[in-house]
Amino acid sequence: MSRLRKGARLPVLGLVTAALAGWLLAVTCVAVGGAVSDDGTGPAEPAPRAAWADNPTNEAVPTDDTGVVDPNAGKDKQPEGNDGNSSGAGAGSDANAGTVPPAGPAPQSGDGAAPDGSPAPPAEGEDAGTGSEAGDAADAAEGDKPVAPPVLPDPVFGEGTNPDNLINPQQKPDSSFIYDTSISALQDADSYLNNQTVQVTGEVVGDRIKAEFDPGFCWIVLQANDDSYAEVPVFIATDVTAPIDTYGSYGRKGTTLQVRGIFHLSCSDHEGLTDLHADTVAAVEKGSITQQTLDPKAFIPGGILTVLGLVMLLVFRHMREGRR
Amino acid sequence: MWLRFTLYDLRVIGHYLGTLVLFFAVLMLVPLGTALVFQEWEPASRYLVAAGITMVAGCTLRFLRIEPGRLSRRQALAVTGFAWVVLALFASIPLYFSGHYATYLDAVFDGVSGLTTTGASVIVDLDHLSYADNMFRFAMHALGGLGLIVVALSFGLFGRGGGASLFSSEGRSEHVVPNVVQTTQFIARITLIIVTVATAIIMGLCLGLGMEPARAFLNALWVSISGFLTGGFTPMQLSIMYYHSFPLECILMVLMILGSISFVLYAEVGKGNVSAFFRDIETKTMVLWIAVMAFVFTATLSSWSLFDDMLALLRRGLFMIISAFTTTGFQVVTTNQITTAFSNGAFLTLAFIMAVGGSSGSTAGGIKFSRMGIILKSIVANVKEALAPDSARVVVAYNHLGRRVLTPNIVKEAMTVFILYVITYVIGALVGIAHGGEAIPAIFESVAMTSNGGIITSMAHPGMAPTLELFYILQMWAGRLEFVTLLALIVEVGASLVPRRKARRS
Repeated sequence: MSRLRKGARLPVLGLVTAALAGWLLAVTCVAVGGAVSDDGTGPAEPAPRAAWADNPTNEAVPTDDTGVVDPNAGKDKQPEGNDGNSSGAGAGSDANAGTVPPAGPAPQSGDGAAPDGSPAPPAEGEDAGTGSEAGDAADAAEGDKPVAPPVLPDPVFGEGTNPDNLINPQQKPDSSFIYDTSISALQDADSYLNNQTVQVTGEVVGDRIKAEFDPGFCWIVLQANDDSYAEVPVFIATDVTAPIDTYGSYGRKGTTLQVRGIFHLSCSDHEGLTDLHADTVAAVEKGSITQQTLDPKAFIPGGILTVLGLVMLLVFRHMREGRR
Repeated sequence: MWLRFTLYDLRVIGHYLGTLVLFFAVLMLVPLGTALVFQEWEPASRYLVAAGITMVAGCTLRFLRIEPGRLSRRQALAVTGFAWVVLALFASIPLYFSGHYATYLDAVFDGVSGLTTTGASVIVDLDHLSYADNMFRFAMHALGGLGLIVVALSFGLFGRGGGASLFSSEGRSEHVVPNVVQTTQFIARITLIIVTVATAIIMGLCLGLGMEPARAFLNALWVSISGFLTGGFTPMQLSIMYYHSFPLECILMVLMILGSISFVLYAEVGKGNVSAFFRDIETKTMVLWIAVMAFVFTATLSSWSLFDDMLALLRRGLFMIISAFTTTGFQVVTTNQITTAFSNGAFLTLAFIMAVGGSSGSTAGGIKFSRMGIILKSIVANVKEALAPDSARVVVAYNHLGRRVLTPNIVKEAMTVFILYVITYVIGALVGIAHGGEAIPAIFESVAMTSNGGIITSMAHPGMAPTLELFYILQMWAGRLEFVTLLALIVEVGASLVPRRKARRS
């Protein structure tokens, strides 16, 4: 019996060895592929600058089925020396969305990461990843600079524009950034809004709830200021909540916040919760507390009715005792 | 010939209804006290007025009969049947004047939903509601979850006036101890212990989440009441999602399951007879039903791209299944997710789970496991009879507080209630569709109302069509009374309204 078992182990060992070898091969392939793409010499990567310089057409700009510019192409379109703040119109706008200085109130965080140098929310792993990859690509490009594109005659600004300031004039409408969405639209969102960057404004209500598995982060609830009273939970760095002076509840109007972030219809980082991962937060309006004053006159009708009820109760009791 | 209510009957019914209304006025002192503690002066004055009106109305009704005597079974059915709606009407007074309801009927809807522990709510801007109003909503859950009659009897409100008739008319037929008053006191004691322990644990969790002590206590108390009494109201608009706490969700899942178990089984377990719980037909049916439905629910969700994550399925899916079968109505997914991120299959599966509900003798609603088990057993009996020789006498037994033999009467009772539930589900769905609703949400909402499940999607909303709202109110009422009491009441009232001459002709 034991011999049989030993014999049976051989194919198992063989399978395990084969699996390990396969895994090693796969890891090696991935590593080599990464190295090739990192140094910018990978054959699969197109040369977007050349395409742009060469009087590009719609067909030359890589897009997906929905007409959104292919984010993979955007990674290579990061110009060298550019910190990413001015290329919001470029491809891969999810990563860049948080980097565009917002119009309106002063933001707490202006460059895509959480303010005060705190790390970006981990839930934006996808976007953070895209950003870091873009950064890597830019670093790599510094070491191996491609040929600068020729200076183009600019119909608006004339000659002498910065050739590094690459703006694609053929940029298609980018549906990955939806400006000023209403909270009720998020509450009734379909899959179209899933993983989209949105900006919403609403009143902070309830409490600041600590995020149980993400130290340094918390949850707040944003309520629509319209008649829908729609709400969306917002995942946010705790530091960024400093401008919230009041949390809405009975007799309290919470701080009105403008929040920009990525909306998830079913968030993979939070076990399928519908949420909004905040990138940028700005206080639009301070909260307020309605002082309730005690008005004794308001208690008079209630008092009279209660006394009347008590009198009736006593009369009933008296009548029943009388019958007994 | 149908029996008619006599004037004497009406006076006796009025008297006992007055007693319940008076008790409800006392219940309003709880939100009044809360308002005074938290210095919410407007709600305080509102609850004082509401308590005064309710008290005067209760006393007036009691004057209808000074010495009412013992309640007959018919009168008890009428008292119980009317009580749920009459009290909801009084509950709607302070609710409506809170300014959080689009129409007066919405406030009545929430009153009925609170008392019948349905948990469906059409309140607007819940997160700005006062503590006093919230306290009242959960006080209604506590009263309705335990049962109006159970609470009234445990306080000795009816004296010697036909406690047993009232007790059974509320859909409870099993006694922990032979004495009805002691049985009701046992139910109240168990509830008090479990809610107190749960409140303490959840309050600790809420404090850990960063909530202020007062808010932590109140939130813990309210969700504990709502969870154990399978109500479904929550103090925050985002339901249980608001807390973002997995431990809290686990505690609530345990609490909901405890609430869906028959109180009689608690007594058996308390006596050391633990095996009675595992042998019981309800426990066996529950395990079988939930296993099958959990499998179907998971299978249909996992094939849907928006909700195929294993952790999401475990955390959200499991909670929703438990919330549905206990007919609590807590949510850890948004209403939009149910209609958008869930597949139609998952949506319907939740409706089926709610339709069957929990155990009889518990605070859960729905058809009940015991009836499903009995119907299943009767199918087994029929198959056995078909296969057995003509001379054989087939006996099928089941365990429910001891070994019992399946009799035609038991099967008839189970089948009758089952059919009535199904008919009401179908009619409710048709009413929803007639009001312009989509078929699946209309079915879902109809089931949620009748089973007192309370998970609502798009049909029930603030300011909905009054006819639809009235029908949903009727469904909640019928579901809580398990039809027989309500049907008996409707027939008696109908017969009493028909002029005597016409009645003779028929």
